[in-house]
Amino acid sequence: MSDNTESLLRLEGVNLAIHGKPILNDVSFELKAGQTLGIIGESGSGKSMTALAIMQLLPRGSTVSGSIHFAGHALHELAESALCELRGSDIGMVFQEPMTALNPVKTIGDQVSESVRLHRRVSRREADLITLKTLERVGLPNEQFPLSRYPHELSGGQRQRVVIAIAVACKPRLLIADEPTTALDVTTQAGILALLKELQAQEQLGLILITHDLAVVSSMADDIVVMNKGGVVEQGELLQVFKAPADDYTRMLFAASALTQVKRKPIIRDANANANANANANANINTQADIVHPLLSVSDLVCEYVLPRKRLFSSPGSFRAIDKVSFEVHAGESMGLVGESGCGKSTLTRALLGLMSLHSGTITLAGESVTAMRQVSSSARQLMQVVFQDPYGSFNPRHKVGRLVSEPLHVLDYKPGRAEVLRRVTDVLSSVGMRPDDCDKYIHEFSGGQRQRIAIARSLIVGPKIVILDEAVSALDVSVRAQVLELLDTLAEEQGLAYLFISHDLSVVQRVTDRVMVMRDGQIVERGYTADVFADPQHAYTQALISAAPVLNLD
Amino acid sequence: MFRYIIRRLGSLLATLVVASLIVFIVIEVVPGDPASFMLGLNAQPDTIAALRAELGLDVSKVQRYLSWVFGMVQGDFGQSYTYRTPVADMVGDRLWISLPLALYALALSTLIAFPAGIWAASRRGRFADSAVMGFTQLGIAVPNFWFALILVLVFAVNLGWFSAGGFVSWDAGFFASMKSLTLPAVALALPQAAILTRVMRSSLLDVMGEDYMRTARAKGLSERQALLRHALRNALIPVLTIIGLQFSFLIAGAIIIENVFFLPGLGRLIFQSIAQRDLIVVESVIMLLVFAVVIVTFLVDIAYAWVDPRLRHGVR
Repeated sequence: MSDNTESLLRLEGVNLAIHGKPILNDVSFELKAGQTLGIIGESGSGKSMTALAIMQLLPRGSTVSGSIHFAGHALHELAESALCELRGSDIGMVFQEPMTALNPVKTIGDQVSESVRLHRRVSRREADLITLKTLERVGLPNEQFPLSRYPHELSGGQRQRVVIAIAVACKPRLLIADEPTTALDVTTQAGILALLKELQAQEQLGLILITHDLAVVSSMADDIVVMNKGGVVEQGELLQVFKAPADDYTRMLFAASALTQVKRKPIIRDANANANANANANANINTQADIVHPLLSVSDLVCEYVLPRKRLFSSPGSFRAIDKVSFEVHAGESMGLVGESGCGKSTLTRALLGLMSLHSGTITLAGESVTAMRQVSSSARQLMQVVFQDPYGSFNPRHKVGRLVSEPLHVLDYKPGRAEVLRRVTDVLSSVGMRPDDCDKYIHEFSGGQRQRIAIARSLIVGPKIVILDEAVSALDVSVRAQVLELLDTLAEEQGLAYLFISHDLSVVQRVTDRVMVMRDGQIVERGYTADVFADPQHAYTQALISAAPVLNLD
Repeated sequence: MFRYIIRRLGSLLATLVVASLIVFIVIEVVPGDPASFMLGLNAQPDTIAALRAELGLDVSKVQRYLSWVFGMVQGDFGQSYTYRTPVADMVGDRLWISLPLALYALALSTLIAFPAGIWAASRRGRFADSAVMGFTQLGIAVPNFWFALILVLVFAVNLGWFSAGGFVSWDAGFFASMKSLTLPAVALALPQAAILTRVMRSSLLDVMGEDYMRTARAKGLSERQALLRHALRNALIPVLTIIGLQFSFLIAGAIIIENVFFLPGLGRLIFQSIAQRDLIVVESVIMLLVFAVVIVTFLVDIAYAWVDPRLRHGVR
């Protein structure tokens, strides 16, 4: 073990199979004390399973071989009781989903101090004291966040801080953070990453940061390990790998992550210029008409939710989710809408689709008013379609793809015949890069990216003029995301589609939109041409958003 | 929490009012005049009319409903048409058998189901799990009166530990009475325990797949500790629902078991009263049962809030 003294953690030739299905293949790497190792890879690459293998918390039916050494312990040989002593004490772990990582029926104080009392021989009082200090250290001071708080009283970022407090309460030597910020807003993400960095520096703990986000890893890690399909494809010092990736997969991953702004045809900007130039000449009537009559026009939109009564006989309050929002989307334009969770993005989507009642204001689609909660006319539905975030949850798993894709056809004025349905399905599937015979398969037979292509196909089958993309690429891996974004470009060019692209991800919005609106607390705080807004943000909130977004920066 | 309780109490009252209306209307619709039934086929019309007046059947329906409801609120359930004794006394005597029997059976079923469900869940897929699941299958499939007969055969006839039936009055001492309720309680409890065990197990298994269970393990808790400290309380909500339903069933649904063991309980009282067109007794007992069910539901709601802080704070 003499050669192990330098490294805090060392994996050698770890293989893992679950119920005979190989998951990890010959994974080897090491982490020195006080260093940060970034493990990057796409979904299914085995990143999380590697973390669980280190924790020895693998699911049932796992068979592991190879060795895992941690600070002089051979983890793969330790008895369960010895592992229980190490977990939470010497090795802490932080998970991806802060909303569900805490027990909803126990107070945050209980959950942190449980870890302390489990590993340290201290009284309840002392444990509470350590808990107080730990919560303070992760940025949850006792005055605002007493130990008696329950998880549901905290926001996602605050919950993640509690999870971190649980992991670091016993001063571990190794902290494994598995996608710790993926589910969080950018500004919250920046705070959590800063906290992890600070803890790591203060305590000299070894940090394993698992993420799919190269920008996150580039600002945090000393060394990185790139994983694909259960194996390590490349590892080394961060800068070295980033500057000169040796492996094809790594190069592909980097290329897909770097979202350079593609030159879209800047329709509106030109049109505006034309309009100005030709204002007197009355030329180019077509373009003029487009400007006078935008495809989608929202003015002074207000949407409210009714809150439960505070007292038995008090009148119910209301929450204004959308506060006087006005905007226009023109034919063929790609409009972006960015904002953090809870800003009203989803409410806006629901309002546009006619799924919720408007408090005041109007939504006009190609000259026709879309009043909510009333049956939106089929011609309006034909013009506007939507693609949602979850490419699996938005399909009925018991129907074949052909039926799923043809579903929107009922908004047509007539009932298309069997042959026409088949023709339309085939056309639309091939336009999104799927094969016509895919229509006889079920949705679970496809990967995430293919499912999202099918979702796009479904939205296109009635020939809409505008497609609302509500976080449509947020759940996709970077390489898949790059392909879907390319597909969207192609479709816009071929069919003159307009997009309303709703996302929390600034880099994606920057990549695909002509104009952008920044939303906060139900209001549009800034709007403008995408390039201008990103280059020179005016509103303080936009500036904060942009500076909080991790950048793939190697200098 | 206070608001939550007030809201529950409000819905409790509303349920009682609606239930009393429904019971009254349904009983009114049922054919058969109690007065002519009591006096037999050869009664004179004026005798019947006199009896109707005496029973208070000659006034308007609204008046009868109101006097019935206000009487009940004051503890006056009226007079039995057949026995000519206050209904309150009749029901009271039986309640002191049915209520302890239901509680006894419920306690037994919970005491069996919790450990069995937890054990099966912690040994998921192993022999213990399959064995527990097999027994619960049997417990659900076999009717409780058959269990009752087997219990009588083994423990009363062969071993002679218990008497085969009848109830020893509470005057003879708590333990003597409880002993006479033991076999019926066991017979009632077994099928309920089987259902509850399955609910407990599946609810625990659901919870064990949650993210916070992984957090608990990463903290250094053993599988068993994580199960008891983190999974159990979260798994309790569906279990409480079933316990509430089971109590409602046990208090009124024990007719067959009461018959097998010759227990003069509420179930038998309803059965006899319906046969004798003793409508005032039927009405009163049904209202009493509705009241019991509503109270149990209320208690279950309070228990939910105790288990889950999110309900206390009005989230969800």
